[in-house]
Amino acid sequence: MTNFGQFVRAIEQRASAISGLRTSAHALFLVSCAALIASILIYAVPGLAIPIAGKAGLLVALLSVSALGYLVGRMVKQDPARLLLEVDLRLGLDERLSSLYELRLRASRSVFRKHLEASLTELPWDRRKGLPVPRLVRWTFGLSGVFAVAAALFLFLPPRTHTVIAATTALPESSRQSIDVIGDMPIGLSEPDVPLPESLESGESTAVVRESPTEQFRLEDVLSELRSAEGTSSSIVGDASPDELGHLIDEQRAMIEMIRDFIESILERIQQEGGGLTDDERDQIRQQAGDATDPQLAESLMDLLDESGSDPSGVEDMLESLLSTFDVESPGADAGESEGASQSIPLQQDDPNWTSDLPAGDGSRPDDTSFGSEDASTEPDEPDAAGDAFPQEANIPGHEENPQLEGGDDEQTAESLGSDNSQPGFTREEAPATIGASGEFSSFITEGVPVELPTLFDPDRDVLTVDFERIQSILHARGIQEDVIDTVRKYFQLITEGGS
Amino acid sequence: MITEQDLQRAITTFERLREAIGGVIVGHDTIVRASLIALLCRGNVMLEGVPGLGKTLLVRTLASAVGLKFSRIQFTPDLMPADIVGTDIITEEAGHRGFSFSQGPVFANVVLADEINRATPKTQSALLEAMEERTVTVGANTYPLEEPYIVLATQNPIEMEGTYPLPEAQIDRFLLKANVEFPSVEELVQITVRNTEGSGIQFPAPVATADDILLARDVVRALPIAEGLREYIAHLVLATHPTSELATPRIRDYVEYGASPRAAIALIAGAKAHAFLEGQPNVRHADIEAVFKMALAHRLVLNFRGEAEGIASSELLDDVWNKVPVV
Repeated sequence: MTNFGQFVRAIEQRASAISGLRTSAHALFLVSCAALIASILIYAVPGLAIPIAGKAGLLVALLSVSALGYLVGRMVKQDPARLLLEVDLRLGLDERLSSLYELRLRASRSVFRKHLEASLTELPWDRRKGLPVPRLVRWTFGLSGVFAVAAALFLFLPPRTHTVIAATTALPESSRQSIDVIGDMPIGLSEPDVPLPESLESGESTAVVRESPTEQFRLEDVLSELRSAEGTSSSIVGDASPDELGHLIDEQRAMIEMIRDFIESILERIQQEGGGLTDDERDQIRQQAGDATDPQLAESLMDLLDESGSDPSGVEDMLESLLSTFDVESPGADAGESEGASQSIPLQQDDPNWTSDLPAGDGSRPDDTSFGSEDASTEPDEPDAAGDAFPQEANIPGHEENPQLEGGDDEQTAESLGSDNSQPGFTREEAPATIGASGEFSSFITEGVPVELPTLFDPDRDVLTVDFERIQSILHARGIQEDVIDTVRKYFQLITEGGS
Repeated sequence: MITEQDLQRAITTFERLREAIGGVIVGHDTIVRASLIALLCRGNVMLEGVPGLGKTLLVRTLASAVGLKFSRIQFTPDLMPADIVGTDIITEEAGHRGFSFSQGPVFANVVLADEINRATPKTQSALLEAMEERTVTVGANTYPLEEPYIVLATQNPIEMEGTYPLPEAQIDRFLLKANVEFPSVEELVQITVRNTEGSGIQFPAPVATADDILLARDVVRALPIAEGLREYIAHLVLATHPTSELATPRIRDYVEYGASPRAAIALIAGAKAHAFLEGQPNVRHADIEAVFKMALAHRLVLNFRGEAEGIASSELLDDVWNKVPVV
């Protein structure tokens, strides 16, 4: 074998190439893994979209890292003796290549060198078989290629969209019906195209929620949680039609009227005859307390029973106080005089009576929230300085444009809200309030979510507001669990921050 | 410098030697090869096997074939060192009395130490210097032994009554240890034919001289071995040590002391001799494998657990061989 030196150099070059391939494969594998993870993240999170130049750059980076790894791997110094021994073992050359290399390295003129050279010329050998590309390197390259292709697929796939409406398609039928009821409303969650009031269109909170994918996720999460709560939908709106819900409200209203009449009759009797409650009256009050769907009303009745036993002389005052409360709590208090818009929930808040007669610390009814008060009209953009005021009237679109509101007339206020408010969309109002020792909290009035009173929505008035506390009391009355109620609260909180 | 003629002469010598031994000894290829390897490597061989398998016959045949001085020492418990190495005796010559050294049986080229484990350790140790340094010291005088020199010892692995196991230092001086296997049916039939018909066993005429043996030794020493194989042998030896990173779990469990550096020398020398006997111009992986167990098995010192559980050193070496990679 006369070209043994060339052969050794060829083996070294091949070993260098394999070393380069090995390093390249490892580098490419790592980079392709990273690229795949990154592309999945980019695909999953819409806000992380990268331009086409970035995608092309990723491909270039893969190739560059592979090439760089190859060059670095080629620079690793090879040991010819070890390489030749490896070739010997692979080709079954009885270690003659490596032995001959030893003899040549020592410049030995041994007789064995001649024998080895003579024997090697007769032996067929293949460099590729002698130093094949390791299987691990080939597998690594293949896997890296698969990862790179997968990364490219994710990169060039159209980005995912996240909408609340899309999520509803996977809901159970009962829940979907509930959503559909809401969606059928003129102003609802499913109508992002409804023009917003200027004050909201320019508001940052709305823009953030509509553009921020994370906020959309949060809203979607809350909605999903709300929908997944067993029996919640049916407890709130149920599978009942709007007519059935209206009937339910009528029944409730009739019951309250009946209790009110009963209390008035007791008051008249005491005013005429004096004394306290009779046993028969006490039994009836106890029964009505048990039948009352409003927990506050039931509590007031039970308080009346307790305190009348200990202080019969103060029964008259207590009855008067209770009667004044009816003006606030009974949805029929205003409904008796006006239909339509006057039955909507905000109308109760518009009644100046409902704030003044509630006990302090209730939180749901701040003291100085009369719509007709001067304070409400003078500082439209700021909450009450005391921190416990109800939302200012000026925050309700169209309200400040109605001069009749200044007069404090109940009917006029109700009519003005029902007929003069011409701005569609939803309204958000927020004001801090205080509940006992729980400190400050946020009270929200949100329109466009006709959950409880769909039939009471006035088509002539584009605004329908829902008070969460009202909803909370309803949920309490229906025995909904606290965690579900908390989820509803979060939902309200989210949508009043601009989502719909 | 080994020439082509030297190489051919050495090859021819050992081909004739193998033929001569094969004419007397039936089978026993392993121990014949081990004996020749030890002869080529300036080593000694321990032959272990039950009586009657032809160990003594093999040694006598080898000595006869190479035309060298042969001596046989039957080791017994009452054998004294002087009985082996020789002693000074009083002589009278020309009216002058004086001491003269009378050589013992160790002064030969081929020494058969039969049933070496029957002698006391003191007597066994008398062979140490002869086996390793090729000299014998009696009193203040040191006498060189004539080359080629080889000690072939035998021991019976079954009979343990009244025996003295060889100390590790002496065992380590045996280049190889070969187990004499029981012959096969065909070999046994052939043995009976040779011993019961015709003129019986006829020892071969010398087919080689001492010079031929010494020349072959030089040829074997010049045989090339790849550097990678040297490293491989070093790894093999290190792997027999329980504290080595290369050690197998069984080595760690059952071995007290691993093979000595002399084992690595024996492995390379034995592999070279084996390659020479196989007519190869270099050492191969197969040559190392052929002498691996013979060179290392007797050098492993098992711990108490290994001894108690009757672990065979050859099994542990199988683990080592399978674990240590060539490259």
